Amino acid sequence: MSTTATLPVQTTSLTQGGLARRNAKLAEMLTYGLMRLVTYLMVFAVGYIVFDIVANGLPAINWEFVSQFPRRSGAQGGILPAIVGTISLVTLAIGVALPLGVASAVYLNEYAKQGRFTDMLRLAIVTLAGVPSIVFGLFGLALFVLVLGFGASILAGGLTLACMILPTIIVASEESLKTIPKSFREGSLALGATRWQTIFKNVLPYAMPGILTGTVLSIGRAAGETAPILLTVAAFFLPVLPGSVFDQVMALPYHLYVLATQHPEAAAVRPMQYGTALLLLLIVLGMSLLAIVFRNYFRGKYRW
Amino acid sequence: MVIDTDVLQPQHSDKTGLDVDPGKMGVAPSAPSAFSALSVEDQPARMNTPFMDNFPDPSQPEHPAETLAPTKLEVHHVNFFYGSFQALHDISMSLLQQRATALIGPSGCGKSTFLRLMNRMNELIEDTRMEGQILLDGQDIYHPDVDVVSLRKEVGMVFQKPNPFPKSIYDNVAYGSRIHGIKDKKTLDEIVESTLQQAGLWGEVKDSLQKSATALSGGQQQRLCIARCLAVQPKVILMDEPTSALDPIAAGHIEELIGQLKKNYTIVIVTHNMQQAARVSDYTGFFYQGELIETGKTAQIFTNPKEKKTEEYITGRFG
Repeated sequence: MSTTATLPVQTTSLTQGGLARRNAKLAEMLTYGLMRLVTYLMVFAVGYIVFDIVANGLPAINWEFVSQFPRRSGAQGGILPAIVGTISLVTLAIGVALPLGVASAVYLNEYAKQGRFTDMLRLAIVTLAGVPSIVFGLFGLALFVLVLGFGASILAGGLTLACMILPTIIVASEESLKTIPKSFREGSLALGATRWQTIFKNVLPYAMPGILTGTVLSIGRAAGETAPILLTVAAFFLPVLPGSVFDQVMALPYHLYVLATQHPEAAAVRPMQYGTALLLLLIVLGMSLLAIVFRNYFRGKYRW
Repeated sequence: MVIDTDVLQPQHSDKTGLDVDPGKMGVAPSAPSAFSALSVEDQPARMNTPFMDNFPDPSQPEHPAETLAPTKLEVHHVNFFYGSFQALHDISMSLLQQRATALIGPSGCGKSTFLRLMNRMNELIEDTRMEGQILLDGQDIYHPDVDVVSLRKEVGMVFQKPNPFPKSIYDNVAYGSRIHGIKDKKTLDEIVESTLQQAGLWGEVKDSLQKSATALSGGQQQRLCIARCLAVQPKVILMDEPTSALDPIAAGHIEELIGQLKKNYTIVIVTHNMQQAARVSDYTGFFYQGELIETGKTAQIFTNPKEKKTEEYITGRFG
């Protein structure tokens, strides 16, 4: 008996499809095609916006633009104060919201007795994440600017932005903490570690990638929102650098709004608008990259 | 007596490939059958199970000095509740120093719950309640003044699924020592080396201490977890089905290790594998539906159980 001889093959049931099977195949192809189309459309839309901003903004950006103070209501000169303003606002907001958010997430996920109370807290947090930014602006105006007497200042604006991004950071951090296996906690506790040692040494480091993903999202939001800073910090035209956190400052998104809609020579300052938009994108990108570098560091260090 | 040896010994049950040392098991080397001392009337059908031939002869004293082994853990009328469900009913048991005690019983019988009472790990579960006393060296471990951190230093635990931390091998073993305040690099190096040696892992990992522990094989991971546990110098080691996630060869390594460790530590091991219980333990407790049905020397429990339930379980009629 030859071992190379092929077996007799019956083909009917595997290779022949009826009309129903062909229809099912067609439906599948159509669905996939549609999904692919939608995805490509989205990418195209984002790509077009970025392309438009880069193409039109790049010529406007030069050393003068990023290092000079604005003149003639922003029609000439640079946007240095707005750059400084946005960076300091975002830094303050992240600096306040990240520790607070992580602390809340740790409390909710690691310490709090789970029950109706924590469910309500979570509901409140998720609801806060959906509150329109203008409402946060009004809240900041009432609390930080007026009641606490910070005035329109970097402090008031940064804290307002921190409130706005806090829910995102809490939710992202808690989700990340949830993915850390229970066995890491048990293993640590069984070695005689306290709860806090366990969380600090054997849970949080592994949760950092997820926490930093939430931070990346928050950076973009904090840098880009106009309504909260409009009410709490942003100056229409203030060609000086802030001396302290109690000073008012210009900010990129609001400056962009002013240039695009409030400026008497809106058409003439169009390159300035594009340049400002591009710089805003670059700053968000730069700060997010920083967070991503940290995230990759933690990802590479702790694998399981 | 008539014992069909073909039925009794159709195959050796140590499928792990582990060579069971008859001396360790307390089987008299000359005895071809462990049951030769028993009359036929004492031998119901259960004796036909293949693994029985490994079992020690109860008539042979296992450790001549057995009765002298001091009690390490004294469990005194313990009840345990998850919410309103009572998981353990009036458990009393003594766990002897430098002996391995196996806890056996069907799933959900409360043996793991019982194990986790001894380092107070059950406290991590919300809405649980414990009644009774557990004494470690005469000290009530549930006394309000007892520091649970110090207790868990004394009573280490090895889990069912190997749970190495996603750190380097070195950092895993040094974790407990660092937690307890040892910072000196040289001291840590020594602890890491000696405990890895005790756990029989040093030879395999000594050149890759900085590699991630999660890259080790399952059996190596479990030995690493044992090393990590030894590094904080416990007196008691609780093992919750330590080999159930491992292949037979890796399980064999762990069993060998347990045999060595019990010279210095008090070992309590929960297992579903009855051959394992017979191989590694000196004493056995059989749990059923939250009650400790029977406890005694392993040899006696497996060859001549007093309770009908125990007999039914070890012969595989349920469980």
